[in-house]
Amino acid sequence: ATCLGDGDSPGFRVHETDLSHILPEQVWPFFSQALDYIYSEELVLNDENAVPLLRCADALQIRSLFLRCVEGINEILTIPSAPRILSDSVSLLGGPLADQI
Amino acid sequence: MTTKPVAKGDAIDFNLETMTVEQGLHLIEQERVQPLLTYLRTGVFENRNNMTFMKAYSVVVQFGDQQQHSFKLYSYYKKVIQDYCTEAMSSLALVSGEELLSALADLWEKNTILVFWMQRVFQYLDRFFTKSSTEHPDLFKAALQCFTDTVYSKVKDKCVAAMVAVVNRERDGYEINQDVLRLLVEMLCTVGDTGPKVVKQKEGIDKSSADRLLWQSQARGSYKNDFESSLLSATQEYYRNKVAGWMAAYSCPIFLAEIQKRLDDEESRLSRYLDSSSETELKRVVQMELILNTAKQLVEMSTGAQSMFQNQRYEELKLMYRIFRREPTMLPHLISVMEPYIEQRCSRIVEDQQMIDNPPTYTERVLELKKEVDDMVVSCFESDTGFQKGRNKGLEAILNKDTRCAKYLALFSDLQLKKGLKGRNEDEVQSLVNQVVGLFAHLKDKDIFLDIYKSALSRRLLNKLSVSNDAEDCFITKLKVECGQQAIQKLASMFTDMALSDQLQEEYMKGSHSGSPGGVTHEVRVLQTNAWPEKADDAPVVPCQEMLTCIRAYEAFYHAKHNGRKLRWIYNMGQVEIKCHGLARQHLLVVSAYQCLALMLFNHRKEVTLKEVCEATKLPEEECRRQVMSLTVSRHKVLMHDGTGKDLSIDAKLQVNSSFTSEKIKVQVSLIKKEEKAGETTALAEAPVERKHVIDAAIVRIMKSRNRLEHNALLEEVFRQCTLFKPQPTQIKSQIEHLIEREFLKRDEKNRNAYIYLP
Repeated sequence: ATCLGDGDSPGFRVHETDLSHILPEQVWPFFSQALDYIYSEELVLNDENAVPLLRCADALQIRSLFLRCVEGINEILTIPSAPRILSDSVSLLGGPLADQI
Repeated sequence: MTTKPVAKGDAIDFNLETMTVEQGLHLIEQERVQPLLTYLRTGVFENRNNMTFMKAYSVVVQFGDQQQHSFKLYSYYKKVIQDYCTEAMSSLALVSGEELLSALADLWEKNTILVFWMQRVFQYLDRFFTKSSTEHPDLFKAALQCFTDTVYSKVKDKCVAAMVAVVNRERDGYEINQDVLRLLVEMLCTVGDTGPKVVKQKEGIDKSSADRLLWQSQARGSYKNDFESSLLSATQEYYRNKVAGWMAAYSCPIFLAEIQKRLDDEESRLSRYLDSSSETELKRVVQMELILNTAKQLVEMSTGAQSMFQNQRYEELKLMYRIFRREPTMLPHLISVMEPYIEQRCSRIVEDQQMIDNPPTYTERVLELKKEVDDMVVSCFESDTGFQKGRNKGLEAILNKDTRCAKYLALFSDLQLKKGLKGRNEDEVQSLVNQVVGLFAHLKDKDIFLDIYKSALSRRLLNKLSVSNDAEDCFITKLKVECGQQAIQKLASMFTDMALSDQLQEEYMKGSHSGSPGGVTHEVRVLQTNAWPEKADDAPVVPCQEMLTCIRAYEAFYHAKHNGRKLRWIYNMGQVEIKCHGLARQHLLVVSAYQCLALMLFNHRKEVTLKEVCEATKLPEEECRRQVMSLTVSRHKVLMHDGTGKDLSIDAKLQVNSSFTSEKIKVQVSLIKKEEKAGETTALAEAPVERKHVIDAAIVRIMKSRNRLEHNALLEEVFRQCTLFKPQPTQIKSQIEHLIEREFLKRDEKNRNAYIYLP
């Protein structure tokens, strides 16, 4: 792993603004979309981003985004999109969360 | 939650708690800014959707709340953009013309991408830091400011000049790079905006189409001030020069086509790359040069409007109209050529002696012309009201020079209703009626038309000459629309009379004598006085015994139904069929009622003189001679006389021509025409008399409601009320004098110019 700065960082500690420990890695690429939603309420759901954003909303406790994702997944669930959503759900969501969809 | 081992460049272990702001910025520089700048240079964006965005954002959030740190973040943000612009300027300063434009457009596009991504990372600063600060504008504005100061203000003049030059090059037909211009227009519209913003927009309507980043701005300050004004003056100069050349080289139609092409071209330019806010101004300048400054000359060119009308070049006229319509004040130029053209075409018909001698052809030709110019106004000038008025003026100026058209049109209608429309279907009838009534609408002597129409209608109805009742109805309905219920009231009541008479006749036939008292079958038409042009005989003609029986029977029948109504008999409107035994073989003679009276005398005597006929029937001598003479001419020589030649003296002895024979059993005896075509002259003379009454009535009506009115105001009102003809002011004046004499009006003592109504 690369080290930042002069290399004498005193070790690992969780801090509230550091999201990398709260969000699983698969979700990170979609964080900017979550941020856009927070700033502007703009959101276009598709089979790629739906489940990661749902996970993101759950972790960050953003209720409105969570609901949008749940509704959205119901809408975009088709035969071609189903495998992707299913595999995302299995890898990203815990049991209780997956049940809600 | 477990931490996984990090992949290279993906997640860097860092501790925000202990991290310094310099370390944070270093991270952002390494993870976000450098990849972005690389992308702008090479087109490869390694970390576009990279996970490091989240961390970079986290850094900004971590330090963004503390004033001293957030200033550092803000300064760094500005520096990145500033550096980018400064570096780009070093190469921009060396180029000019189209090269400058494409380099500048490229810079603008890339700078937009840079600003968009930078703002995303630093957007947390806009939440608190820039909001609470007056000296630090928000991120977008600060970025735009950098660009304006570093780039735009330095190249502005060169850029605008080059853009205008490129637009002119395109006007000359060269290919240009529209994308460059579109980007630069976006730049001009954005620079100077106080609340700009970069947004992502789908390039197509399709959801899956690529995103495009663009500035959303309402400013347009630089576009208007720096560019548009310059574009407009260049445009004006460009077209002024062009027009001068075309004027010398082109014929009118080619000129028009060129103008149309240029107008379309400018319109497409607006939609292709100029800002839509330029529409009004650009169109104004272009149209001033291409239309306002050329229209009059275009119309007057030798290949101009006049020749187009003469040669019926409708496509060219249409084009001219379409172009001029953009500048409606130019339309009168075209109308002022159309009017005399229509007048000329019209004169060619109505002043042609051959036409004058042949009323049906005259009318047909006028109707054809009317249809032709109507069609022209519809197809070339889109029924523009100005052109409709011009057409009306042109037609009416010629047609109303005299009353001939009104008369001929009425005669034509009669002819059509008697013969012409036979066997035509409903649509054909409709279209003919529309044409006739359409022409009628142009006439100012409507009363003359209606007068002749009325007497013709009366003849058609009484003699059953009409081809179809539907056609008659159609005429009346259309005339009613054209000149109102009032004017055709009498015509309508004629139809009512006919219908009522038919009913009466039916009932009469059911009487004890089965409609033939004394063995004579007869049919009666009861006509309202005044509604019909027919007048009861002035002379007290003595009907023969057989007729008298019929008259009495009918009168008895009628009076039983309508008490108090008086019937007066118009003997000579009728026709009589008589069975003649004294001839070589038995014939049925169809004669007029007067002729019948004369012939009946031969039942009692063998020889009768004309004088005796007159005495017995009380017919005036002149009329009596005409009627009797018609029976002695060679075609139907029913009677013989002892005189020489054709003329019949008052003492000529008449007797039945016992050797008369004809191929047909039924012989129609036609009357000798009255000398001098009375019909035409009386119709001409009658109208003015009637007009006097109409004017009188109008004056009295107006004065009764107004009590006092000045002369001119009264004239105005009279003009408005007389819809069927145009009264002459002198005519009205003399009627006023007349009414003063008859003490309907008097002049105001104080103001001699005003009249007072005398109740």
